[in-house]
Amino acid sequence: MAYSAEISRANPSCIVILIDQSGSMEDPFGQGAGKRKADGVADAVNRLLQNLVIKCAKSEGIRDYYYVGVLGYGDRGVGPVFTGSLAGRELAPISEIANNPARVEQRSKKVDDGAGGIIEQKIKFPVWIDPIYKGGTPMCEALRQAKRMISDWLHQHVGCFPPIVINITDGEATDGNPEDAAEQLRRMSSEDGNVLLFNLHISSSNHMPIEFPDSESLLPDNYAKLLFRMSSNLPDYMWSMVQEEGIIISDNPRGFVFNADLVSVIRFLTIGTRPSNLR
Amino acid sequence: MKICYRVFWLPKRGSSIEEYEDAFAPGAADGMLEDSNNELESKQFKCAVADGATETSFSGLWARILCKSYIDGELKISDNEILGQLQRQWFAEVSGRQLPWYAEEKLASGAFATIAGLTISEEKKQWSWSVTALGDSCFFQIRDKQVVASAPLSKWEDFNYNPALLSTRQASNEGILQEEKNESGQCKKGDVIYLMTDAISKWFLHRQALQGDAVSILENLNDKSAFAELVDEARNEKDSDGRPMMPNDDVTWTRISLS
Repeated sequence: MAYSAEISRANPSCIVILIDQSGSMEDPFGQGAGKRKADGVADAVNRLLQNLVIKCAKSEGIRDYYYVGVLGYGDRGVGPVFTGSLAGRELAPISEIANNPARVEQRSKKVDDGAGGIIEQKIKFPVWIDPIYKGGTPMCEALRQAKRMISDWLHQHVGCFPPIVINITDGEATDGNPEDAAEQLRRMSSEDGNVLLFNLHISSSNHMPIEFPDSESLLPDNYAKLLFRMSSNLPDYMWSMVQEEGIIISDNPRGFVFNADLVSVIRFLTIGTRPSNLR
Repeated sequence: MKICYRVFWLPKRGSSIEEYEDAFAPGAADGMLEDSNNELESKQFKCAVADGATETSFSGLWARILCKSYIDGELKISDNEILGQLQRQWFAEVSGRQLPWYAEEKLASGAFATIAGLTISEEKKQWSWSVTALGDSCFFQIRDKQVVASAPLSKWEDFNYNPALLSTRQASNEGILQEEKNESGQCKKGDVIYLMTDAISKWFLHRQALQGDAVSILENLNDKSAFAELVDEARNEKDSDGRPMMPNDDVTWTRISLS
């Protein structure tokens, strides 16, 4: 049965995040003076890395259940986007990520004070990537680089839980049609199943997000349809997780969100990277 | 009546003994040897197994605290005051250490464990058992090589990755405490009782359903190395869906026989 391999130190898995860093990422999420898309995505990815680290933390330290890479694509072409001492690293074990954030910021969050009020609480917020927004959208090249990285990974980890690639973008590719590169990525597999490619389209408009669609017909334009076709079907275990989040989905949805707002970006990243079988 | 008590346990494949996060009681600290028959003449006997959740930290410690509390007669899952004392005990043992940012964060989310506790007692020459359980650690009563009672689960299909777990955080226990299962029944000379954590419980029920020989297999095990061999084989063996018959998890089996 596919997607059932255990994720352990002896059999780690791999997550690759692709981030669109083109000029349009400077625009705000939704219309009006909201957070810039680039800032929102950087926060969401830093938060995702933090959650993965915490998931792999045990009393004795970090267990290397995952190797994680974050590639950006924009003005400078395609490349790894870690800053600080991990700069230039394509794929790093989660323990190295844990111990090498570029900095740990103090941020505040609002929490229930237990007496009907809200108080601000200081929290530590480790930062591994910074927001960047400039130039075009070389998405085809980003998918090809992800394929190369994962191909190397699969040679050394034939029985691993299949690698997961999440592509976060707000616009059309400027270096061709990415459908073929996406298909080649999805066609790779470990003994436990095919590589999963999920697409997260983020929006400057205030339209309602379309989460986990099961057919092209409901999507508003050709670009949305293209991203739908590029996305893997959700495996069964992830389907159950989406249901548990209270999202109503059909029997055969794709790992794709169109017009995502910040809430659905965070929710999608959480579901897309939640393990089913850590050992 | 004479009670014989014996424990077999192993960490996950690929993990060290120090990383074992199940727990059982009584154990060496209570004057009980794990790897030999402890013969007791007693009118009451208590034992417990617990399974600390892999995704949380210091969960083995929490599992040990729960087991110890059960055999000391203190643990009542639904009693918030007793639970609060145990939670404070866990917190006192893990706090005050210099920890990196992620370990601090992890600690704040607490530790989680399942628990199954068994009491065997005699009243007016009648012997009975009672079980308290939360989650998927299981009790099985065996008579004439047949399973005659089980709790809280009795079908292998009922095991999943999301059992009810008792937490060191009060807030995380909301909605969980009512999952506590209490069962009781009669027992007599010749009965054998197993308390097991989830991976071996699931294997036991699955093997028993498929081939009916899980009891015989376990009853024929004589020592630790035979147990390790069985676990190794069961972890390699696949069911019809291609999943391991015994998931790669910490494994604990306590065997109690009445004679």
